[in-house]
Amino acid sequence: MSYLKFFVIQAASIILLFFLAALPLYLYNMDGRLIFQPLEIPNEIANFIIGLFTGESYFYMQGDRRRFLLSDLSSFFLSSYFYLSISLLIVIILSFILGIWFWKKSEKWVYSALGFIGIIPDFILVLLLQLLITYIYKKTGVKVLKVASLSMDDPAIFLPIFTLSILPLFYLIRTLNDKTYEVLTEDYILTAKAKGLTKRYIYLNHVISNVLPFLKADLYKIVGISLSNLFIIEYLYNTRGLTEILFEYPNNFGYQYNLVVITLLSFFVLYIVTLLTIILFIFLVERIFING
Amino acid sequence: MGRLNVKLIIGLIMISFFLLIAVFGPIFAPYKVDELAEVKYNSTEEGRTLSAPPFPPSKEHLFGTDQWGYDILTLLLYGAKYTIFTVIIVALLRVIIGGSLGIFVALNQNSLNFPAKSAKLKINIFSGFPVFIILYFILIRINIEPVLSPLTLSAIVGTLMVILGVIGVYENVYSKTMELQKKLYITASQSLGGNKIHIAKQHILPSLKSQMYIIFMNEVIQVLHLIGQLGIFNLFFGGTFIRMDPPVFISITKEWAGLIGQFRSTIYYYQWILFFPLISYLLLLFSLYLVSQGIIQQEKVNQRKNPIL
Repeated sequence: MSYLKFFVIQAASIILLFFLAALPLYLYNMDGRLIFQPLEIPNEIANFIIGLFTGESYFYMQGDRRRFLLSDLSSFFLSSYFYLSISLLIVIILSFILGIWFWKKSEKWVYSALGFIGIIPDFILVLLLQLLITYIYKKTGVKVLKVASLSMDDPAIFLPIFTLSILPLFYLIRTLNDKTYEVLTEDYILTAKAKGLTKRYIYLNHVISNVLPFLKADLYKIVGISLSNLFIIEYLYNTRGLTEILFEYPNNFGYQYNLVVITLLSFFVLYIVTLLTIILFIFLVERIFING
Repeated sequence: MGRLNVKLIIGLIMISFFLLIAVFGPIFAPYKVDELAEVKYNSTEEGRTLSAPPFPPSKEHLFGTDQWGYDILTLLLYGAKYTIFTVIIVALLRVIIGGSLGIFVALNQNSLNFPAKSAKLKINIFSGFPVFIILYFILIRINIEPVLSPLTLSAIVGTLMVILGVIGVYENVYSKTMELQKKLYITASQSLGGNKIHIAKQHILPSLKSQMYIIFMNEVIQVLHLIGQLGIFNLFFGGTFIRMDPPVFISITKEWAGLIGQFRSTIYYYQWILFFPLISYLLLLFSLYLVSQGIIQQEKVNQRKNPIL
């Protein structure tokens, strides 16, 4: 029963995605009227699915040129994957160190400040950083960091990764902080302390092994948050990535249904691949440090 | 415990200030919303020089003007009502609809059947997509150079934002009600013959009250994010029109997130144009955050255990 429910939910969300991607073609303003042709959408979807088997859906038009979509997509995919996974690895490492080791009860204002930075939306953070750096440049003439990518050979790297890390980082530090707090109130910690075990030993063997499951359970959410931020960050920093195909290509080459759907699906692939990368990383760290 | 809840007080004062601006903003505005700053001639030693907008912040224009000469303070005062009221109304509807659905469904279910923790796979194809993407595909071709009036368009976007957020509130309230139902006083009330409406009114709602406030504040913050993200993609709340040569997207309603979106391109040349809308938006966010933290602090149960290490 629950498997059936699972499949129904998955199928429904895929159909919804196909439907959404077709909306810009059949819901638009023309000649001062709003035009909506929902009955055309199943046709479009059917054509796309047939095209998947005939191979038609894997090609798109770049102006007059007909190009193979998957080969063009892969480099954008890799670039997105690079930004996403690097920043997530940074997030995991830092949140672990800051959330568990440097845990302090007294500094409440730090906690509040972290909380506020955590709710600042991604785009505000990007714009503030860009403002700050252009301000510094105007005042001192020093170009501290690249504010946005101007060309493909010269991408902005530090700021995108910094912004991409900072939001999930604060979320994670706070959750890990809370969990550590909870774990530290447990009786087995008291027992360990009463036995005279060192702080270091208790942290490594009791605290971390009890906080780690929460981190693992939260991973799917954290990758989700990061990927959502990636949309805005790639767009505002003008870095090469999947969002460029999603937002820029329709403007430049016309709205092509297969292009948009396949890009959206590759975002899901990106999600899964990144999630697996992080899980693998945590697994390796666990093997080496905790069991070793 | 007699201690003043500073966060809550400051937050509430700031929010009332923003509400005042939202209601009376246009009255305080120093200029009319469509009034352009004149091109000025300044006499200097070499003769007369022309100074044209954008003007940096000065006595006449506290927040400066944008590249066409519109006074930024005026734009902000006019746009405030759209931002603030939309955010509050959408969040309120989310909480009312989602909350009552959650309580209703939970009460009609046997609390014993409630699984302690569902081990289901929580990933689906939308896991990695931000909410605004859904709105993006719906709005991209109807929001720019709109045929619909700003009010209709706002109503459509508002409804969509309510629908997209209701599920989250529903799940939250549902699981909280399920937890509450396990409490002995509810069982007692049930066995004394209290019906569902009685239980919902007398027991569930009072204990969920402060939780509801917290959920409401979080929803307000989320809606604010959502409007802002749409603004970044030139889908301004209430409609976008395009000014040609070079094409620039302009917010019809002067809503704050829309102003941020429309002034985004000025970042390299005239920082103050973007700076003031950005700061207003952040202050609004900050006051909301303060209130929600204040409520949490008020709520914080004293039985929280102390750490041993």
